[in-house]
Amino acid sequence: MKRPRAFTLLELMVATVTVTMVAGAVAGFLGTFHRALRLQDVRAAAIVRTAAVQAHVSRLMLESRMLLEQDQQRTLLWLPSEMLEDSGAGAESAFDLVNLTADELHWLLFEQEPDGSWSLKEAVVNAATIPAGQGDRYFTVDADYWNGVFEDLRAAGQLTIFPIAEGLAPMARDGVVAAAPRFTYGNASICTNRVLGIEFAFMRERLDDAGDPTGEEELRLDVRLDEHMPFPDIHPICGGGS
Amino acid sequence: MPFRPTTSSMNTARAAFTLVECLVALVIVAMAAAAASTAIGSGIAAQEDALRITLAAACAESRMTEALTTEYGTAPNLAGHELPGALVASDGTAMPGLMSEMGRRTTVAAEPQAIPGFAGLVLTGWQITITVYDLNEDGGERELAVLRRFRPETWEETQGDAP
Repeated sequence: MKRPRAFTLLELMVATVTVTMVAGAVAGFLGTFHRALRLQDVRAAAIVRTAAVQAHVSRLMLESRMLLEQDQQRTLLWLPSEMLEDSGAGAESAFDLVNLTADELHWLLFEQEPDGSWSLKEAVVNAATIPAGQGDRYFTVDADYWNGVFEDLRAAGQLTIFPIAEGLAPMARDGVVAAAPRFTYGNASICTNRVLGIEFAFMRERLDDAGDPTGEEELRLDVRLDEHMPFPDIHPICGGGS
Repeated sequence: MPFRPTTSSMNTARAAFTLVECLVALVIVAMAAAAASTAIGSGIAAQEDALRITLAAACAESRMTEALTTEYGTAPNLAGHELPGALVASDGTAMPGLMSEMGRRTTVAAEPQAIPGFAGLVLTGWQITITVYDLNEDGGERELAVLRRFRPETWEETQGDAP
């Protein structure tokens, strides 16, 4: 009686090597596949968020009359309900010249999150939290004053802050990465500036096999947006009349 | 009970894949992998294009708002051609990343516009066209975004206060 033929050692070794090579190739392909899908997600998010930021800031600039605070990580847009020259009549004609109501103030700010990423947010005054008669602010072009107003309102819990875009990173220019996303301005004068620039980036770090970031950039998309104020209003405090 | 090979099992050859079957299977697997790779590659390329178009639209929109908000009489001064690599932001700094690879063409032409439904009513103004493009592998221009808007001439802009 013949014994059934078994695999030889050589056959087993060849089979093992072949299976290992195939498994390696499949694993490599799946890894590439997974990384490509992840990058697609990041790109899709970048497209949507860039468009969202542009649309949101464009609308705010359309309704803005001045930028009252011009900081790199925060800017204050003044959105009165009417142009100064159309403001009220009689005793109320000068109301908007001296007083700003809470709902006319909109801050845009870049803030860093606990995970290190940055968010672009909008902050508005929650009028319901302000005691009657205390919401109006005297009109000024003193940026320090508006900085104080923001900090006071925030500390008092009187601001409603919501995100416009999350997962942002600082922009790189000529290979040099900035310290933070930032706003830029056409010029430094609150009275004459009509342009708001926004610089940010989308960045994805390469992950190691354990899923930890390696510090290397896998994807970077730098974005620079410029928004112009179509209907600026020159406040008399700037010396230009209304 | 111990296994006892029967006569028939000993005489029948063990079933196994032939070389041709193995090769066919390998070809099928390879074709599937290639198709998946191509699909992913196409998807990434399409997204890359979408990204460029989004950024190009932002570049064009930025220029358009500048053309619409600058003094009426000086709008034609914005006409010109910014070559790829020479595109600058409003503060004069160079555009970053993909945006730096784009070029922008601005035309401002005096083109009176007839208003549909209002016979004889013709508005004078500027026809503003912004085209943003990048360069393909052959060095040819690939149009990414085109914006066209009409800026009518108004009395306040050209004569001062309203009559």
